[in-house]
Amino acid sequence: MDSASEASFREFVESRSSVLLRVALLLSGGDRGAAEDLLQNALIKAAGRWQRIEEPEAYVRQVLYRQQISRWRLRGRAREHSVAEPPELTTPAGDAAHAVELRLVMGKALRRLTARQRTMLVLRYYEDLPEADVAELLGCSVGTVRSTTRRSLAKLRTMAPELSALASGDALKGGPNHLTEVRP
Amino acid sequence: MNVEELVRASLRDLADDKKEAAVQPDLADRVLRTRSRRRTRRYAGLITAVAAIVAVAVAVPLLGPGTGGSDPAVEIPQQDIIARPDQSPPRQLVAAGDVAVSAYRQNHKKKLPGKEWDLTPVWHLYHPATKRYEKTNWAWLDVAPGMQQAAVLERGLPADRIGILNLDTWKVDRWILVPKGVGGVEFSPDGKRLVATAYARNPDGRFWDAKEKVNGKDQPGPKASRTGFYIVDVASGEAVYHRVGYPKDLDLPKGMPLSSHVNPREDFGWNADGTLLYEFMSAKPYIRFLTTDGKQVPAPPKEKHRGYPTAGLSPDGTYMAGDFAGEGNKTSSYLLDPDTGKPAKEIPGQQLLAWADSKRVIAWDCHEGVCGKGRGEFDNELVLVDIEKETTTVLTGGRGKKDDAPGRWTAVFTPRR
Repeated sequence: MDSASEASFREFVESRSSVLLRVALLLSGGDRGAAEDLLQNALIKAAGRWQRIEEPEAYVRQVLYRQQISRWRLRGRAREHSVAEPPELTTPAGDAAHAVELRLVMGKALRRLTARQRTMLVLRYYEDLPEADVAELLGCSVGTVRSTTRRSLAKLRTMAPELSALASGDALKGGPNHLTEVRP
Repeated sequence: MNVEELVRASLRDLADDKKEAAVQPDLADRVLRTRSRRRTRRYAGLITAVAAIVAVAVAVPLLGPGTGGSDPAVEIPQQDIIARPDQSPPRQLVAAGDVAVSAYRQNHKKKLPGKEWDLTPVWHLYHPATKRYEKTNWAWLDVAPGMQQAAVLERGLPADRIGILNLDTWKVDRWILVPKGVGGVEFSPDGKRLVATAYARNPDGRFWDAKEKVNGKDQPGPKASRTGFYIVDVASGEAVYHRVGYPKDLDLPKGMPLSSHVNPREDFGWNADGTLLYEFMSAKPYIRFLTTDGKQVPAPPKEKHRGYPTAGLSPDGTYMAGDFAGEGNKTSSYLLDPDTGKPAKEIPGQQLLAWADSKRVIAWDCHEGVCGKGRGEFDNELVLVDIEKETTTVLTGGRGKKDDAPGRWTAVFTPRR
């Protein structure tokens, strides 16, 4: 890498890494260490072909997603997080507390999905990509994207039935809540 | 709101957590550094593969069986700080910045027949598969930068072969023969070469023919038996021996044996950029530098004031790790201006061990920078010192009050990327 390329690479990392780390955090289910690893590896890959990349951010995002899927393939499902404790719902005081509560429940539920399921949800609902684009990005069929997304949502509903309740505000009135342990 | 909308909103909400998305300020540096190291390793792996084929074809005598290989197959956790303040010695990985505790050794004393002693330590090496430090039976070892492989010596030093241990498979890929016998190994900073210090006798042995009087009683003593060093090219397995004596200009009183002035183990080490070797001496200037052919040369400009603290020169060359500077129960160390050798800064830390990056150094330190208080100066733990903020982060538990207790551990640091 020559000095001009290195300068532009540094500038890119400085300006975009915060945004990219957010994506990595979502993909890793909030595991900061894993997210940093994911981003660092993607950036190393990008640095290797910096002069040939036309759209660096799109490239790094693509590497992040593919890497996450291939990690899933390599490691198998056994290493997915299995969170023992249910989130403790207190009675929140208002909208802010409600949002915090929602984030907590969703964060924990997302961590229990497989990396592949999480990646699909991030692509469909965070990046707002159409099914065909997701399929192309991950190298699978549209049918696979559709079925994986459907299964992931169903799993979220099963694991965290209070999500729907939280959305409507019912759970905020108190009452028992329970996350059912679902093993992938 | 249905579940799809809820997932969409929650993901955005999660991603907007600004505290979580704060990026390490030196990320670009880290990426560029890691990339260059990985390229070096890939290149070394390629040469190894070619060398293995050549070895079969021409039967190079120095190579033992095995095909070699140094694919970066081992995943080492990369979180910025991995601390185990409740563990001493640590059971799980300890790391900060660019380096990790790749292994540690524990004091050990074995009685030999004839009431001689072998003080070869017991080594625990980080095993990436179990994610723990595992006890090993090696007499000495060093882990290569990137933590993909280690160089190991068998017990019963001096050893006549060096094993290249694959940390992925936990097996020795190949043996490199060193017929003169070696007692210590150290990887060069780029991981391509080893310096293996040659000894005629076990540098950790205590012998009757070097007996010494301790409290009026005879006991087996240390023997200075260093003969030189091997430079080993890791990729090809080629090992070249250089005979090097002890420094001649040591001003020893008449009749005083060399052993009383020279450490029985005085391994050669690599200087900061891996172009020269150095060794410590008991007389001024206390350190001397040698070429890899064994010729003495002047100290490199930035390392003229290198002392015993193993951290040495900071990665950006701004500071040289200096000596203990504390007073009373307070612990601190100097950072020296590498050009003048004068203290440029005084920072927390009892003994500066390894630079995590240019702004942070790992040190032994007493609890909260204060020795005494019922614990004593030897009950120190590994800490990460931020040299600008002058704050410390505890990385391990304390090592206990006794300096010479069996099982007392010493950390070995290796770049983890």
